[in-house]
Amino acid sequence: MNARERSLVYQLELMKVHHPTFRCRIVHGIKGERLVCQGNIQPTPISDSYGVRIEYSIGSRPRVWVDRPKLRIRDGWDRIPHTFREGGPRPCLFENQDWNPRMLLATSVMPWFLLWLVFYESWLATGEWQGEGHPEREAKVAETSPEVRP
Amino acid sequence: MLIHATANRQLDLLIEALCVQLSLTETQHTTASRAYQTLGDWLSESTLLTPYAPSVYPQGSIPLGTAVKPRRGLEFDADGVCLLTTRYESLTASAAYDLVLSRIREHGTYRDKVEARERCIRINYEGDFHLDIIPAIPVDAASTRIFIPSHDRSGWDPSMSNPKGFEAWFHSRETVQRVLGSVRADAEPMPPPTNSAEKPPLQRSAQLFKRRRDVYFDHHPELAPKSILLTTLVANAYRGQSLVTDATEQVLSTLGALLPESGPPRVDNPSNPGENLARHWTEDRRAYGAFLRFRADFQAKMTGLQQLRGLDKIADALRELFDPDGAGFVDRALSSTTASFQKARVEGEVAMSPRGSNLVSRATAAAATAIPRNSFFGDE
Repeated sequence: MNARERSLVYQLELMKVHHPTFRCRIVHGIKGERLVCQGNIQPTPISDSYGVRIEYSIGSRPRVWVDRPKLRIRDGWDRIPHTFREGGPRPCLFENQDWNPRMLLATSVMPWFLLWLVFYESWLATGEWQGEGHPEREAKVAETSPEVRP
Repeated sequence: MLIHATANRQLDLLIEALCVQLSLTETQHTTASRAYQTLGDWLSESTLLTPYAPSVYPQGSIPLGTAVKPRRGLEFDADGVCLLTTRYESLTASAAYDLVLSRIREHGTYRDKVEARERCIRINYEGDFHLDIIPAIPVDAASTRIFIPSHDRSGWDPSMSNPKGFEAWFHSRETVQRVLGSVRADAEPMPPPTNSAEKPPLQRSAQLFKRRRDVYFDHHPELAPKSILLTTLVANAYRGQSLVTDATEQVLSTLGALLPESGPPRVDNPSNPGENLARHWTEDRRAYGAFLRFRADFQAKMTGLQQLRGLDKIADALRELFDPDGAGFVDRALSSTTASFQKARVEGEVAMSPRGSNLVSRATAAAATAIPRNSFFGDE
């Protein structure tokens, strides 16, 4: 293990510090250990409150889910922008170069999740993803949108 | 200053943005002010009118700052007064009207665009705009009160009118009260009105009331309160709130306490004592009943709006209240607030709360956690 890499235990402890209402545990599965954190987040005072889950195992990208309320697809769209289909839809919060295992989930993935939800709600309302992101993805989404904005 | 501790403040940013969308555009403003100017010049250059030193000035929602864009492709209208300086005995209402009308018709551009209406003269401009000009004479030299023609133009309407006085009264009601000693622990210090450079909250609130009236009385326009009555009620009930949402709630609850179920009250024109702006309610009791229901419904919907969570649900409620035609006012308002949020995010102004699971403005939360840069991604 890379010496500067944060261990699952360390990640868990820092989650407790920054997100005291979250329930975090280390699960031992067939593929090894993974950290599972669950809790509620409400990005802004007028945002909905979301029950979310983060899973992380050393050597892979952290993965996130919105457990409730279920993510919704806007009428006329075939998918939610900036999500992964596999095991999801799962919000896709970052590009590979944005994250490395020396970073803390508590202060990177967690705030990115909050930001993503703000843009998701705004997209649900207007059909416009205003949080930017990978440009190719953006173009793709725009093409599949049947909506013509004035 | 984009994320605030209270939902009310956050919602207010969105409603404020909606008011901006409902307001006349810069272009519409310029069009209107040029129209007043050009017409004024044209009238003063007339030898027949010279003895009366004619002057044209705007009246109504444009100088009040309460104009809203018309619904469904209707034209926006600007109102103006053409004041002829003379004595009551020296010029009859019909002579005044004819003098102004014929002078306007002499103008090459106006000739085919003039419409003689009951008391006013309408000039239809290219595009989506018309100007209604009402000829008037001063009541006396000491006040801003004027006489305007009676409905049949057989004489000067004895009930008089005072648009400049009304404007002065309305603007005097705009003062924002600073609330001291009421700062909540989780809220930031009382901010100056966010819109000080734009419009005072009273003007914004009057805009919301007017738009809501247009929507609510869509199928019964004959029952709708006139703008001057609505504007007077709103300005009377306003208590200096710095947020348009608070102002609107204050007005709604004050009106609820003030308007008797038993029958319509008198509403004096603050700039023209003796004129009951609510006489329509006395003449048609259905109109008063409809107004009471309008108020109760508006209040219930505003209260419901405050309790909603989720931008999409809030946008739906705002559309129902102010833009049921789906003209895009709410979408554009929300896009503009989300764009401001994104700008703040890029500039590093958005941070994560030290208490955990929400976002805050870095400027207002000292212990907030800065957010590393990220780009949202996703698969094909």
